[in-house]
Formats: sequence, structure tokens, C-alpha cells
Amino acid sequence: MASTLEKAKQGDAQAFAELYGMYAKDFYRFALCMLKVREDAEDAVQDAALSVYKHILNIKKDDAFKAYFFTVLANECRARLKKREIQKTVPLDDFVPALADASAENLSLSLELQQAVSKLKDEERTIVLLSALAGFKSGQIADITGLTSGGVRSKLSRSLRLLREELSK
Amino acid sequence: MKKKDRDLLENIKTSLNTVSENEKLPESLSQDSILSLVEGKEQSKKNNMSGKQKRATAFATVAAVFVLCVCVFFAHRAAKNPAAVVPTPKTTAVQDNTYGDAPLYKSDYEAIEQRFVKYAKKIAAEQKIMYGLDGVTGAVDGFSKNAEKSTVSEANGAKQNETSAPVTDGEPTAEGGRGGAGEDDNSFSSTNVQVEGVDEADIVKTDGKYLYVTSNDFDYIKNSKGEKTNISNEGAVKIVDIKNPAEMKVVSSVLPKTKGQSIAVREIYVNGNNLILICNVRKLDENGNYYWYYYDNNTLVVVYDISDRAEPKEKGRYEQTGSYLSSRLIGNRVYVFSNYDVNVYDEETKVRENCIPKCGENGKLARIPAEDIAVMRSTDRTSYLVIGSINFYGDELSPTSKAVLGGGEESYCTADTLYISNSVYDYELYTQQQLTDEEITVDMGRTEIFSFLLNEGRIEYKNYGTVSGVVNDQFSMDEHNGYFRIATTVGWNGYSIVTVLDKNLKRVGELTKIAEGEQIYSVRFMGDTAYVVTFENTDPLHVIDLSNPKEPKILGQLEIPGFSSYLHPVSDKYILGIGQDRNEEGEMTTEYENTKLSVFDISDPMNPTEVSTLVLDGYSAAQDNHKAFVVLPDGSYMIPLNLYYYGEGEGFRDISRSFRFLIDENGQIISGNSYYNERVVDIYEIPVDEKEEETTTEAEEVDYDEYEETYYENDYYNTHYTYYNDIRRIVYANSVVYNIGDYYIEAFDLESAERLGEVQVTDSKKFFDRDMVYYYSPVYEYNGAEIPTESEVTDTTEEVETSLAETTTVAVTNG
Repeated sequence: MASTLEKAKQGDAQAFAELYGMYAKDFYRFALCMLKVREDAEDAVQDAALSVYKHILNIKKDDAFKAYFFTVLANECRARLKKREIQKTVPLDDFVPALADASAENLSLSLELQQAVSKLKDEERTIVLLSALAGFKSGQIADITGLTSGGVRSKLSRSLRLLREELSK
Repeated sequence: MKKKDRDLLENIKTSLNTVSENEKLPESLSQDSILSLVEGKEQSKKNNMSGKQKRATAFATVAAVFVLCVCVFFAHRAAKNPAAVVPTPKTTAVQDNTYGDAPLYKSDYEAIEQRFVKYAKKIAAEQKIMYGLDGVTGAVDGFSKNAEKSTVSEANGAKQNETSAPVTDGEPTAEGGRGGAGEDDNSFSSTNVQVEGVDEADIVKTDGKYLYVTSNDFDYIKNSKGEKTNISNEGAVKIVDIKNPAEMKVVSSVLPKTKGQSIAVREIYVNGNNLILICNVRKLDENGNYYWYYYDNNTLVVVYDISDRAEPKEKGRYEQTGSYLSSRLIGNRVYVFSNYDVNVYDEETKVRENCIPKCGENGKLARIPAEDIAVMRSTDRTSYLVIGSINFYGDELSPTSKAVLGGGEESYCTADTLYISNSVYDYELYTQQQLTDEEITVDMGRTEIFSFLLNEGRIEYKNYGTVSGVVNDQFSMDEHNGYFRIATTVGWNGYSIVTVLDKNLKRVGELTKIAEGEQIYSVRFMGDTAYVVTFENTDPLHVIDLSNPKEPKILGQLEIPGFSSYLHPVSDKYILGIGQDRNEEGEMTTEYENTKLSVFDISDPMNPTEVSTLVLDGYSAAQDNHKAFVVLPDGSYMIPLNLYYYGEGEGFRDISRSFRFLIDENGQIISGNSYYNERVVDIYEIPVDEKEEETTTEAEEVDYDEYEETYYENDYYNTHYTYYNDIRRIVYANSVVYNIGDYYIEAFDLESAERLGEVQVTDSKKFFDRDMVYYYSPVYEYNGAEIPTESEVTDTTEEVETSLAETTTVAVTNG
């Protein structure tokens, strides 16, 4: 029986959508944390979906779908951030996350952490989010960010340090 | 990765999930919406389409046409040669070098300006459609205010000195200037370079008598409220007297004075009595701010006469537009390469003004003459590759420069030819060229190569060529017997290619589909043979025969766990790989990072074998940077190892050391000394032992904070900070090993590994403090160093007062 990825590769859009659906929330959260503006995040995920669908033949293994999607999505986000930086169009603290029904204490910590993450600069945020949300190893992140894997490790370690500092304030 | 880091990442994930739980997935991103979005490709006509769908449709139309072309192409090829696996030369577009995009030299300022203005308008129009922005005018706000001040003299077409300066008294030495510091029994290591006789810049150099080190020092710019806004300068070069390793002394600190610019020293050369600093500078506005974006970056080369090491004298300086890429020192000249990205989002007059790269001596910059600028035919290029050259030896710098509107990345340079690679990602060319599915890996693109003849400062554009895929690093390129060879990886999870090009950069032969599903981690060309390491889960070392340039072929391959990310030739028989140990699944074998040394026997190219391995604790910068790998005059090797990890039941370990080893005639790795500060290790391990004794029954987790406290309370930490002194490089000179740390240099006896002395080159308090401004850090290599929080570091009592955008050369006598 052909795997979902195989079906998607043969042009089965339904199969593609199923694969997408498995990680849709992760993709959106990632884009949201990167771009901080809901509309932009939506746009980035949509563009990534189109691009992945177009290049789905590049994906060799089933479990690579998520990784490939994240790779494309990270690039989409970076492109938007770059444009934004040039044009200075979006205020940095635009995004205020919706409140969840979690316990007050948990929520406050989570919010704090999320805000700390959003204070990181773009590249650092990319690395941290790819590491935390996508579970990528330094080599994979290096591929996306164009750094060396050693550089990714260094920057990750440094970013986490900054986060700890921020939280301890 | 450290446990606390893992925990934090886990925390981030959980908290993002918590916070985002109510952040519902927008309807537009539901599975169904995405389904209809991608289906929009097939249903080419649909009423009431969203903007996104419209775009998808337009795209689908192009794609459909394209698919048709590919099919025809396939059918055509299949009919011609049904068994073809490797594309035959005539049918594949990548075979020739045209792509319709070779550089032209027949341009003038007006043509280039027109081109940029046109492009800028196009971009602005696109922005308006996509983002509803008011095009150029919208983008200008905030930019024009801080655009460059007219420190630039606008001498149109100022004539550049094209002739090479006559060599004055005596020839400089190729391998780092032994002349200047005395000739007696002076034995020292020099930067590990790719091509013999072609020196590469680094963050440290030695002549056996002195160390020249770019420090991590920096000063702040402060605004009117006294807040630190930016870093005004960083990386002052310290000259350290090492005549007596037990009492090393900083004899001077060298930092070029700049006006209206911030400066960061990137790399240096030392040759005889010449110290050459290569820096990035960027313009500051009247408030002392700069844009962290890189449009305003220039590359500055400053030459010092260091006949008197205590009082270096500036001989001259040369500046060119663009961020520093790399450089080489050949004979008496330094060649410096930068990448200049033109800001096409600026207003028209600025675009017109800034679209031509500039260069010049002593702060007087002028446009590079139009006849020295090559322009790619395709009009969407906005980056220039700028190449400059100066004579550091004589009285005159006699600079020369060339530019290519196309851009550049990695560089490979022989004594007379420079090759610069540039990766290009464009959809249009792919569709035009009707490539196969594998070749349409748009996310990886192709690589173009520019070659230049270098002759005593004359830079002559030679040729242009292009290959599929992207290069890994400078070692992916090589020239041998008149052929240029380049190894590239195509696509995501793609495959690799070794391509042989002739002197004109026309394709002669290629070996494709190497290691499908993997990517290149390291390459080394040795004569007629190429050694290529690819990796996904395991490390295949491919031995490729290039003796027939038309038909490169794989002779043998070896599959072993782990990978090598740097290959160093040991002898005709052995090659050394430095990388990481991984298991069969490609996962790290140790919880913390490791460094694996492998010796490969290549005497039988059909059957390469791994004759010995050594797995070491910690990450070595030599994995990612060949300049961190040291070859000692006696033929032994050294690498830095930085280890910091938390192991359950083991506690914390943090050791930065230099490790020496030898490869004997049987290819066996013989471990030598490790050079590190034992006191730090001792202090660090004491609490761990105590803890373990206390908790005999349970494998209780060691409380990190408790140890951290113990550690920070320790006097030694407070006085020395050695704990964080990660080793950046290692230098050997006259039987002494110098660990060049983030802010300390420590000296050790080569044979006994006894610690001889230390000297501080970076103000450690400032060093830690620097993280408060973290947009701009070109010099400091983090190497995973941990930086204590502000509260942990004793207060910086002396605030650094820097006069706005002005820095000075200070002579410091230490001790």
C-alpha cells in the first residue's frame, strides 16, 4: 500500500493535505512566533504549502515531510522578515497571544517565555524555534540558516542563555 | 547539549503550546483550505478566487507549460538514448556556460544607474501589489535620514592605479614574515592554508617572537541619555611579547582611528614588519547609530609598520564598499574580496548614487571606473563582488580594484588565479532551461564561478562558468594541471556532483549522482584525486579519479559511522578526517559533543580503509574551520577542544584544552599532551565528588544551581574568569604552546604540558557585558561559551567613555 507521501507525490492533493494536517498547528505556531502578525503567518504557511506541494518529489522519506515543510517555511518567514526590516513596516510588539485556559501560574510563565523568545533577534529566534518546535539538529538548522553547524550550536547555546537571563529578570 | 538547555527547549515548546492553544489555527490554514489551495493548481479557472488562489493559478499555468516542456524534453532524450543515466553533454542545458548570463564589460555608469533605477521601480511596484505599500516613498522613510553622509568624494571615474608598484627593498616572505623578528632558531606554526604560498588571514598570527591577536575588546556608542546604543569599535589587535612565555606582555594595542564610522577588526596578516588589519566599517548617523542592516558596510584594510612593536605606525589604508568576504596574501600584495549589496529600496537619487561600488585610499573613496565593472546580463542582480588589492610592502599602497555586478561567496585562490563562487537561486532560468525534475531544486540553486588573473596587483577578469548545486566551502574548489574542479551538492536531500572545467570555465567532464540523499560535508582535492565526504546517517568517503578530466569516476568508497567535516592530507598514503562520531542512525554517540579523528589509508584508491580513529570529548572548532587546525613544525598536529556538559551522575565538566597528536607511518593516531588549566578542572570537580558521596542510594539528579553557586562563589572564578576562556586558536612557537582563548592567552611547555603563564588580551568584564547590545557581532566566535548574567559579573566600575564614533590607537604596556 502506497504511503501517504507516495500518494501525494503522485499528485494526490488529498494525501498532501492529510500530511499537512498532521503538523498544521506546529507550522502555524512557528510562523506566528517568527512573524508576530497573524496575517503574515497565514500567508507564509500558505506560500510554504504551495511550494512544498510543487516540490514534493524532492522529499525522499515519509518522515522528511515535516522537516522539509519547516525548511521551506523558515525560508518564507526569513524572506518576510527581511522585507519588513528594510521597510520598517511592522511594529515589533504587534502580536499579543490569545490567552489560554491554563492555570494562571503556568500561563504567566508561558507568556513570559514566549515574550522572551520574541525578543530574540530574527536569526536567534529561528534557531531556537526550529530546535524547540521542529526538533531539528544543528546540522539541519545550519542548512536552513546558512550557518555552520558549529555556528548554530553556539548561537543556540547563546540564545538560550539570553532567554534564561530574560526570565530571571 | 547541556541538560538545562534541553529542559529550556522543552519548556519553550510546552509554553508555546499552552499559549497558542487558544490561538486557533486560522480557517485559511485548515486542512481543507490548504487542500483547495493546492488544488487550485489543477483547477485553472475558478470564480471568486482569493488573491492567494489567483497567484497559485498563475503559477500553475507556468508550471503546466513547464511540465509539458519537460515531458517533451524527456521523450526526446529517451528516444535518443533510452539507457542514459547521466545526461549527455549536448542535451543538458547546464552543460554549457551561457545561461544567457555571462558578465559584460561594455558598460558605463549611466547604463548601470538606469538598470538599478529600473529594478528599484519594479521592486517597489511588486511591493505595492503584495503588501499594499506605497512603493519607494514608503520605504524611504527612516532610511533617507540615515543614508550615507557625504564623506565620499564623488570623483567620477577617478583613475585607479592599474600598474603594480615596484617592489622595494627585499621580498616579503610568503609564510608569515620571519624576517622582522630575528632569524635565530625561530620555529613557529603558521595559519593552516589551503594553497601553499597563498596566505590566508586569521584572528591570530605569530612570527615566533610576538603574538598578534584580535581581541574581543569593544567600546560602546552612547546616546545623549547615556544609554549604550551600539558598538563603536571592536577587535583591537594586541601585540603580545612572548620572549618569556612565563611573563607575556601586551606591548601595544592597535585599532585604526575612524571618523563617522564604527569599526570591527575581522582578520589580520603579519608579514615581516607589516601588520595588516582587515576590518568592516559602517557609517554612523549624527546620533552615533547605524543600521544593523548591511548596506552600509565597507571593508577597510589598514597597513601598519611594526618595526617598533610597541608603537605601530599606520602606513596607509584602503577602503572598498561591501562586507568583507575573504582575502589572500600573495607576494607583497593583499587581495581583499567583499560583497556589496545595493539598497534598491532607497529613493531614486540614492539608488542612482549608490549603485556603483567605490574604493580608495585614506578615506577618499571614488567610484570604481566603469571599464573595471563587469555586469551580468540578467537584470535582477543587486549585489557586487568587489575585489581590491594593495601593496603593503612599499611606500605606496597602489590599490587596484575590479567589480562584478553578480555577487560572490566562497573563494579559492592559487598564486596567480582567483576563483570566486556565487550561488544563484532563480526560478526563471530553470524553467527556461527545461531541466529534469532533480535539477529543479530551486531551493538549492546553482553556482556561478568568476575567475580572475592576479599578477602583482593587476586583477584581470578572466572567465565565467556555472555548475548545478552549491559548494560547501573553499575546499570544494581546486585547480590542477590547467583544470578547475568543483564539488557541489544539488537539492535538498539531493546528490553531489564533481565537475571538471577547463581554463575558460567550460565544462569538460562531470561525475554526477554521487551519494543520493546525502550532502557534502568535506572535500579535498589532491592532484588527480578528489576525496569527498557525504553524510546523512553514515559517512561515505568517496575516492574520485580525475586523471581523465573528461570522465571522472569513483574508484572506491568507504562507509563508516559519523562524518568528517575537514580533510587534511597527511602523506601519499594517509588522509586525516576531523568530524564527529555518530551511530548507524546518524545520531551522536555521546551525550555531549565529540570530535572524531579518523585516518584513512588511501594507498589503494579502490579500497580506502579507516586505519585508526580517536573519539575525543568536546567540540573542536577545527571541524568547521581549517584555521583552527594546527600543523607543528615537527609534523604533529593540534586541535582545540571545548567541552562543557552536564552528565547525570558525573556532574559538570568544562574543559577547554589543546590536544596534540601524531600520525605514525602505519597511520596510527598517537595521542600527545593536552594543554589546559588544571586548576579550573579541579575546582569544578570537587563538588561533584562530594555530591556523589552524599547520594549513595539514589541516582539523584545533581542540582545545577547549587553547583553554579559553588562555582561563582569561588575566588578563582571571580578573579580569573578562566572558566569561560574557550580556546579560539592554538599557536606554537619555540617549544611553547599558546592557547588563544576568548580573552586570555595561556602558555604551556610543549613537552611537559606545564603551564607557564598567562596574559589577558580582552577585558573580561566588558566581554561579558557586550551581550547587552547584540545586533552586531562579527568578530567574536561564540564557540558555545557561556556568558554569565549581569548580576554574576561584578559591576563594571569604569564605564567606557567613547567619544562619538571616534576611536584611537592606544599603546598599552601591561604589567
